[in-house]
Amino acid sequence: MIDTAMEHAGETKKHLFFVDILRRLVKEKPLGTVGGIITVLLLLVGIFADLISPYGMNETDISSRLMPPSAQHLLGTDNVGRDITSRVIYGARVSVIVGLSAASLATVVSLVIGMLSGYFGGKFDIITQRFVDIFQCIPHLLLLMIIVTIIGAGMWQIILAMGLATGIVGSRIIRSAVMGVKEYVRAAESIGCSTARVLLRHILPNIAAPTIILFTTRVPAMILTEASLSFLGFGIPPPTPTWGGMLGGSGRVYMFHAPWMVVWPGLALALVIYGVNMFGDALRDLLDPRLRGGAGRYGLASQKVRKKYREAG
Amino acid sequence: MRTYIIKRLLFALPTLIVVSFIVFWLARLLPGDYIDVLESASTGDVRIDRAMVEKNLGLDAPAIVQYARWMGFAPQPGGGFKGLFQGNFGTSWWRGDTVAKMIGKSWPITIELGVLGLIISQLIALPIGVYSALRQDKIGDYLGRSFAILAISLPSFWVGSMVIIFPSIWWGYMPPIMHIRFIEDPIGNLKMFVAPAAILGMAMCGLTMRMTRTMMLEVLRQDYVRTAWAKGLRERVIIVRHALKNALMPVMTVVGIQVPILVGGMVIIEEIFNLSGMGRLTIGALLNRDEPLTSGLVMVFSVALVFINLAIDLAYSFLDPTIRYE
Repeated sequence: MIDTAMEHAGETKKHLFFVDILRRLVKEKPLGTVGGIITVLLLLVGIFADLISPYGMNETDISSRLMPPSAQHLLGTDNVGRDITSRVIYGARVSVIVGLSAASLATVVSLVIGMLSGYFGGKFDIITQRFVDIFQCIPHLLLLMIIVTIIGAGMWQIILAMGLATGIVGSRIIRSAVMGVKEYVRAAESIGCSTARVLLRHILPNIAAPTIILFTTRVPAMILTEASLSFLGFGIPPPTPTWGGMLGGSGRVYMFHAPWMVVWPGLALALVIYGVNMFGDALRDLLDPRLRGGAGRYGLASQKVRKKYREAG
Repeated sequence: MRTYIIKRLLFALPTLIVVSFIVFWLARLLPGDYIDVLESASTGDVRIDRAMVEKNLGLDAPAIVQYARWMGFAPQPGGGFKGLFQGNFGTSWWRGDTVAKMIGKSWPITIELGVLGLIISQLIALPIGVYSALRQDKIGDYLGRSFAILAISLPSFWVGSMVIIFPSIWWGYMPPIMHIRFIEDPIGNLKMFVAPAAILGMAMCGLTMRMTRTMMLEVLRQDYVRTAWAKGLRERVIIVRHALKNALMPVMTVVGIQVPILVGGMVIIEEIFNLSGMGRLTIGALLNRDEPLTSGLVMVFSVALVFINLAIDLAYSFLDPTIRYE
């Protein structure tokens, strides 16, 4: 009798995992909530760019070139008479696509390398980790610039390059998380689970929290890296509107005559990176309280630091 | 200690050889080759005999032989070993100068920018990080943390553009474009670097600041800090000698992690402020599909990263005497 009552009491308190996280986010993390709102807004703007934007993304109006912000063009126009508002809105779409796909690809690559390396250990682990070490010796942005020059500039090429390069480096975090759940693995192996079952049913669910955190910290990093590459001319080629591309290229030529050409895309970029970072930070605190401590989107790096510190000391 | 350094250097060697292999292949994969460059440079009806040029330059040899020549393991077609091990990086296709000479001209700018950027980032990060930790969850802490997040969120190429645009529009001020050498005019040289280095430092200080705050919070709760308070030591002594010194170790590691990020940041900053350092040279090399220059530059960056990491590891033992490297 008592047993069933207890069970019932336990049940009423239980919400869906994500509903619970969301409730705690709103209750405990005001800044994280603001970040979440910015993130959702970014997603909506990206998805409904066609409906929101007043003009087409490449609609030119030669008669109104380099116009300052006005009622007709809220954020002004650029050197070929394109509406900055519309291009900033369409730029959100590019950022959403690049941020989400590249971060997903990076997470998958990290998961595959990290899980295999952490699970099999031994020689395979040593060789893989040396390979990751070697990768870290080459400056990240330079590597991406070279890869993009080789495979050509374009949205999917950028996503591929960033996803692979970042994924390889990030595999360290997954590997150490896998090392942390070795007991479950031994238990599963001892009852005769196959390797695939151990990896997918026993390891994967247990490293869900670091994986989600890895993903959320990667999204703003990817958006910023894409913007940097596009700014330098190694990113998504014009006329596709990207925030980084609007700051570089013709934006740099005309920035003294028409500062609005570079002010707004940069502000949008800063706002989005701030929002997604805050959202990711809050999510990290809620998902994995052990990682708390305000190391921000580099929380994962700080974990590595502590490990290194311990090894050295 | 000496054996440790030697061991580390020996370990670094195979890593760098694999890196050189990857870099060589990446550079070779760049679209276009030297003969295309020659053809596009020749204006008249000069027809280039592909096979002939290839033979003269040794481009007809198998790729592995070319790699060995580039590294200095195999003799050049003209005889003699001229490779990385002999300090020879080859000749740039784009400018015709030797790569070593071009890097020699540009590295002081990159180093000065990087070092100044790191110093400025520490000068911003450490005091604010310590202050934030001392005033945990008070208004000062919130301000400090907000500043850290702001510093992380603002893209450096946007801040850089704003710093160039608005002073020029409002006051007609432009940062100096001409390179001023430090020996000739130290003040003018520093003036040239102050804005770029400040933006670079700002872009990097957020992470260090948060790490400083976290570590200070941890250290301030340690027994020895309580003991120091109980002994009646002055606040400044406790914070600087007892707390900060112990909190600094992981902060140093963060600085080490940041060095590759610093390289990326320098590429962007050099491009914005027209500083002809190694970052901008790399952009030029890639845009002109200059294989020898690209591979030489990336190799120099990679070797530098390996040695900086070694230096940071060694610095630990000076900061923390309990660490003994065997």
